Amino acid sequence: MRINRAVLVAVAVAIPGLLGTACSTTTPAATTSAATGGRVLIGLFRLTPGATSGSTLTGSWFRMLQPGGSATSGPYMKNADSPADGGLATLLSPGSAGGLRSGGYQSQPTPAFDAGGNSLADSIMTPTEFFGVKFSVSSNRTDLQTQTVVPPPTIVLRDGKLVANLSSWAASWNNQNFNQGAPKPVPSTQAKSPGEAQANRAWDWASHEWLGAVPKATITGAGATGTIDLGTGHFTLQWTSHISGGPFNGFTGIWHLEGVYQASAQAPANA
Amino acid sequence: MPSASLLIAPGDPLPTVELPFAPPVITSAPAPLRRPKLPAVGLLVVGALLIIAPIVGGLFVKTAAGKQMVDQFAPYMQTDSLARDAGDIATLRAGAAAIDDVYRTQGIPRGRYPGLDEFRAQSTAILARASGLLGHVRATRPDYRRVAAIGGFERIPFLIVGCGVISVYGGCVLLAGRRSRARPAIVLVVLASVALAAYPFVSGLFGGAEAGGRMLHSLAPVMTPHEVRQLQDDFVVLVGADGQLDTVFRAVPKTGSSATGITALIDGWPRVSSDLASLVGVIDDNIGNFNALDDVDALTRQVGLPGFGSFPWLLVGIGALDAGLALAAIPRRRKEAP
Repeated sequence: MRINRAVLVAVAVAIPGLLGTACSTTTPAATTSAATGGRVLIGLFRLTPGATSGSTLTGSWFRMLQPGGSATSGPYMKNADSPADGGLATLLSPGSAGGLRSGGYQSQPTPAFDAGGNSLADSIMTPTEFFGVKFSVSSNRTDLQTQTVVPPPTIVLRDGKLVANLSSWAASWNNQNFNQGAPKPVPSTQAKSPGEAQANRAWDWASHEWLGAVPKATITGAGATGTIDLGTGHFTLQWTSHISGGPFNGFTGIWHLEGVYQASAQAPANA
Repeated sequence: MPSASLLIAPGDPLPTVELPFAPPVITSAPAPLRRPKLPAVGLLVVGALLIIAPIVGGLFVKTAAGKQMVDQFAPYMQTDSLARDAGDIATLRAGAAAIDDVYRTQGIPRGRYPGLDEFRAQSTAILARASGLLGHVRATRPDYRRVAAIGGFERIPFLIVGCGVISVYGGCVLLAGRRSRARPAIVLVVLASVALAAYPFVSGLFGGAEAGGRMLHSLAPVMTPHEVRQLQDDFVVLVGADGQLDTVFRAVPKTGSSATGITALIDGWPRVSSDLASLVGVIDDNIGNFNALDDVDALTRQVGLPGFGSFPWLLVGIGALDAGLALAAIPRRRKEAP
């Protein structure tokens, strides 16, 4: 895949801030990131279950936008298993961990699917029917679709707003995995000659050590954004994530998480 | 018995023997070794081309892409996988007929179940496309297996470049190196050339390359973004239909084979959708790889050869040329003038 050089440069400049926050996983619940000037929020972003009130969606939900559509007006995929917005949205319920933990991974279990293709990842959200098969999400160090190593979910409070690196966010459905994060991992799945991967690693190391080269960006694009009420901990996070590759190439996931942030003393152990 | 005149009594002096004059034996100086320059320069040129062409032509990437495509398609070329796909299409076909039957017998007006209406309107085309896709995959299988059996396909560029490096080394030694190194260098070049020429025979490339050409031709209509988009559109229609079958349409009375067909479709949907999604996914993920492999085919055409099937002969030809140049470059003595 060809990536615009300007985008890469922008990402290379912008990412260290978020990556820097990802490195502070053993620090207290809210630390100041020198790179971003924001506060890194470490803890549980407990999800409020999705619900509908008339045509209004509340809590946490997901839409799947068809190729060429608009994030605000669709067309969206219609999930007949969902009562929300005539099936155009799918409501999310918190999983066994209560929601999204920042600073650590909530990885896909093994096995990832049952015999019917239903996702067994139940930490972040409860697997939910989607086109007759249960889908769910997880966050993984090595992204399941792109095979790129990505940082754990990292959420920073900056200027009163939330900025998040959720590049490790992955949806699983019917024996398929799709990266649904923001920013997006740069795919590592392209064909390589024998020894090319090792040669690239050696070159990256040498150029970094001796030439002072900036490491190649592993993620690209904008991150998730949101709000938080520091008094109540009520938060929202939203992002769009274009699916690149696989059976739903060109489709876009629209995610809205809502709930209550609960700070932790330190980053969670990776699940 | 010796003659009496040659008998010498003990104590007598030895007689003088007059020998005839013999001219000195003159051996001619060895003729100087001649280093044939033209074959050595040819080795340099051929070697340089063997190094540069695969790099500039992106052969490393293209063969790796071809290998990746072959590997990723492997699960979909198995007999049981193809049988599953055929079963999926049969389930969809039976489901479509059952839905039509229920619509007819129950007098269901158009518009009550929009997802099913759309499926009914498109089911013939969708099933034809699915059958066509399966037909392409199935027809490709024998050729695919021969391609998959090629040993070390992705290492061909290394073999070519390696031969090129050795040829350049040989050319340099033959032109400017020590005389004592000439023969070992030639032996090295000949060995590398023989390896290059022999590779197609030992790797199955001859049969595999021809099969690869046919495989490319057979899969070409399928391996396009347009085809993927069409399959995605079909998937959206199927999803809409199944969603209604599994929810609002459950209340509609169904009997006999119609009930069986619809139940089979609902129950089989996870498998059908998984198989379809997987196949669409592998097609989409390998369009780039397919195009890269197609480029190898185009590469041979660019040099005036008939396509992918001629690729092994290209290697044999290059190996033979290189070996010939190396042998022609053996230093030899000048012939003496008569």
